Amino acid sequence: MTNFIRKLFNIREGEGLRAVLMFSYIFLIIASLLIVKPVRNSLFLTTFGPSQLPYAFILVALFAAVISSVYANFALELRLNALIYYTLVACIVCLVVFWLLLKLQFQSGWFIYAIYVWVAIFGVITTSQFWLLANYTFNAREARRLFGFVGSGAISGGIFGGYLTNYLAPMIGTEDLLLLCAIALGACIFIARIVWRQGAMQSYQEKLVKDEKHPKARTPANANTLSIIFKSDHLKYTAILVGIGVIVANLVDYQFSAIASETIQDEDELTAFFGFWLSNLSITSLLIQLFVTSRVLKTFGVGASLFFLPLGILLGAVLLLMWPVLWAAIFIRVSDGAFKQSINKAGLELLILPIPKAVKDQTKAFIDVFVDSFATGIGGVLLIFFTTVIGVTTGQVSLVIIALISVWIFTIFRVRKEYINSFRLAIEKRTIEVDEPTVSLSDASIFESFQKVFDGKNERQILYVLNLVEDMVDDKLQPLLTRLLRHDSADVKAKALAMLGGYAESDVSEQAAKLVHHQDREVRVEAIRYLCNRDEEPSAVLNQFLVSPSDAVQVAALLCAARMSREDPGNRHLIDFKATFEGIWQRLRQTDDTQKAEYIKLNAAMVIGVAREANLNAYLHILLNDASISVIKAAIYSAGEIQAMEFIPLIINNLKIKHLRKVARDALVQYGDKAVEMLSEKLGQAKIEQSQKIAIPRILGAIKTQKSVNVLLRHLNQHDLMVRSEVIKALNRLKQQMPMLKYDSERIENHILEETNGYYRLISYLRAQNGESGELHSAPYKRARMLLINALEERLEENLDRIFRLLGLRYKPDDMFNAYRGITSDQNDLRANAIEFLDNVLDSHLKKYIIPLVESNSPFSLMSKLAEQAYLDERAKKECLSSILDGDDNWLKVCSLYLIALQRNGDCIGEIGAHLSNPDPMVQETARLAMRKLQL
Amino acid sequence: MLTTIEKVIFLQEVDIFEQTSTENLAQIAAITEELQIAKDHVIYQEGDNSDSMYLVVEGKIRLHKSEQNIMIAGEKDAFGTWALLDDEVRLVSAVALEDGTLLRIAKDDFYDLLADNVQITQGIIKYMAGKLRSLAGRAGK
Repeated sequence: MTNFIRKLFNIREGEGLRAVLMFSYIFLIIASLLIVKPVRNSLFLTTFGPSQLPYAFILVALFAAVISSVYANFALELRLNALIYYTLVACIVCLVVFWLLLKLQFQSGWFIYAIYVWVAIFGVITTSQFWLLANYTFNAREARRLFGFVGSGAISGGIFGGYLTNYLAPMIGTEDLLLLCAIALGACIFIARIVWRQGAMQSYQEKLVKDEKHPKARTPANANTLSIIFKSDHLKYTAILVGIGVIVANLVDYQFSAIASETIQDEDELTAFFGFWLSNLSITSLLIQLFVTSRVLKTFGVGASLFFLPLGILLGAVLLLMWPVLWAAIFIRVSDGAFKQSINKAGLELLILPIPKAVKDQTKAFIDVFVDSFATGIGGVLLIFFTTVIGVTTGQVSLVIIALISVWIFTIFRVRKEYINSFRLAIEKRTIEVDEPTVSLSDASIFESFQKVFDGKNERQILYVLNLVEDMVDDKLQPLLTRLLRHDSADVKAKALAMLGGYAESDVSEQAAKLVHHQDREVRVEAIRYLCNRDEEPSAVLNQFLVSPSDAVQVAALLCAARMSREDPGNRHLIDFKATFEGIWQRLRQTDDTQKAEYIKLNAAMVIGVAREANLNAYLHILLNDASISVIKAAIYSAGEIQAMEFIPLIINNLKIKHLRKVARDALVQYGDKAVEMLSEKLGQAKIEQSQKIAIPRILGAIKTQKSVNVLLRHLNQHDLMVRSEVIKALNRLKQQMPMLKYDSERIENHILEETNGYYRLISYLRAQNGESGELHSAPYKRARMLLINALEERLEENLDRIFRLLGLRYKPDDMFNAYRGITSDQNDLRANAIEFLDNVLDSHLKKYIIPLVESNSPFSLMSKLAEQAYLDERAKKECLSSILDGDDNWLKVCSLYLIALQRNGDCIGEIGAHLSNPDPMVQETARLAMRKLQL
Repeated sequence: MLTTIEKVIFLQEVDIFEQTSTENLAQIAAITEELQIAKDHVIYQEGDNSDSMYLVVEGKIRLHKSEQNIMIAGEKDAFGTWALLDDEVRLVSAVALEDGTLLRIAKDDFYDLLADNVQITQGIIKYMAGKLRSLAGRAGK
């Protein structure tokens, strides 16, 4: 059963849980909505009657505008998961309060209005939050495949909620249904939490970072968006279509509610009636979506699909005008609801497809929220005018509807023309996103544009369109794809072959058989895959190519088998990988042709990475120890793909080899958390090369997990300053990209204080060197002393940089970066502002050390200030060189040893002797030089 | 033979490395090769492949194109620097005018060092940008 659902909805490995959870989430939200809507309608109508409905429409419009702006502010302040949590909790509280008050027979007018408005806003906010969460839960490719399945949760929820209301309302009463919704929303909280942890959190954080790095222009004022809409005929007509649709829907809703409430007097029965018809509406909508929408779009295109809704309503309006009774009201309401949610929705989505994404992002929300609210308000005003002022009957409202539909139909004719022009332009300029989930071949005009591109010679444009339609199987596309097999570009050929695999009825085996010998590997692989898919015995096909005299064909067959086995574990039996590899090794042993051997090894490494068969790991070990750098690179890459623990030490060792460092780093990042402990262990070892050590923090910084943060924090005490700086930089990157992870403040503060002490120590060394008169000394000596001073000043700069980087881990990174820029600036006002800022932001125990450090204009003014306050380490000040030689900084040691050598001060001979066996070659070399000079 | 620290002392005063930190100079020093050259020794000739730059520690080097002198490189001067930046052949010939000592930096080693140490790259870019700025300033006058 699970497999059947997986295949039916194209759910791949690792996606099942998320898809089911999101399906359940929207199911519960829409089911709740379809329960509260009938409850609201019946309560309102039995309390006030239909005459008050227009005022409710106006109130909904006003509140929607106000609440959407308040909500937008909350959305900026809160993370999405918190926003969803608080919204759902608030909704549950509201539902319980409504239930309680209704139970207490509290039926005050404002309260019933409040329920009416609340339900409208609840529907908009919870569903929009769901789609936001869905966008973070699935990447664009997954969304394209899975949104159909997830979206069916909404339809099922609608059907279930309405029928449940119809069944339960007469049994338990209208009020108690609200409690049922509260329970459903409670379940949504738990689902949202799991979904958030299942991957939405990571993509949400990545999006935050991306937005921070490339801030979009602030949401423009409505006036600006309006001018964009008015400048584009396409957008202008789209907005008019949406607006008229909303006004007409309000008029229809009024007619339906009025006639229903006049016919059914009992509150619970009315609730059941609304529930029943809302469910029927959802079913009709589903049937139209399944059996009509795609046919209409395929045959007539977007333009025609937009006519169904107004024409359906027009028919209902005429019927209602002639027979203003319940069945006619049901007809018009079902026509409106069913066409709107199916064919019209699909048409509108396709309508905005050719609009550039940036413009779409800017204007779509405006049309959805502002135009919708404004039109709802207009609908209310029109109803008040016609029903209260002029006094038209419910049936005669149809005349207003008919008038509006004539404008609607005129607008559709205009927008159709604009749409075709925009689409042609969008294909030419490639402005439609490849991952756009709404791209569909079902529209005739879209198909025509694609056809033109395929007939052309522009390789990039063809690949772009192939990517757009990659996941679609459409008979009209097949002959075009077959023609593309003759295209000059190998990429186009390979892509077309891959896509043709989805067409069971057509057969291009003859062409594919020729392409098996194509010079491009991807074309060969796709050709073999095509032939395998066509054959009842793919295993025989693969084995036939595996014994081909051509190495290139053999390699392609092996790669093809690996990919097929990776994509579907059921294909693992297709070839015996182990036996095939034994054969390959046999041939490698026999060949003297080194070039051929390297070609085979490179491809073997790639196949192992793709196949991910544990029994091939032994071969990867051999390849990881190969003499050729290219082979080792390919093997490391594959090890990263396989992520077997046994390869981690080998990959870490390769970090010391310059040409392998990048690929080793990327592979270890791919391992993620699995590699963190081993990397930590290596970083903690004293006797490893600096280049290898430096690479490790960078890797940990790219593994964006809490474990990685914890390990980096543990290694903040690295003696090697370069490694320590890299550890801090890696933490900075993580803090920027993953601000939600925990950064142990206490540990960071301790390191800030240690770095501050280090800064003061360096100041004392500098003071000692500057305090010494060099006039009596030789020029080489002066140069040596100057070198030490320069080195100390550089160390001071680096130290200050580390202090501020650490502060960036403790406080807001951007604030600390700006403060650092202010402190290191030449401009006094910038410096003063930065100091003032730090004085306000830093905690007192840090301020005590940091503020004196940044207040001084130069290290020297700080020296005198600190000397007075006895901050300076007296021993270090007096015995500067001995102190440096006792420390961890090898470069300062080298400079000091050289200075001692030129001082010819025999007192230090013991200290120099201690460094003759220093593990650092430069320290050792300089100690020897010093010793020679002193012994002369 | 110069030790690394002695090479650093020398490199500190070479223009192209003026923006490079002392510790990074030590890394550059580590990839230099010390060459003792005799008078009239031809270091490279016009049209040769450019694979390294040279720094004069001691002595004088004549850079010439055919018979025309382009410059005399003395102590702390660098020559053949463009070799590090492009793949063109030598535009001039370099001949020692007296016995001396040179430091040679091979292009491949230098690029490997730059790839590993972005600060050295930054230092050299800063130097180049400063040069361009001053050239632009002079051209503007």
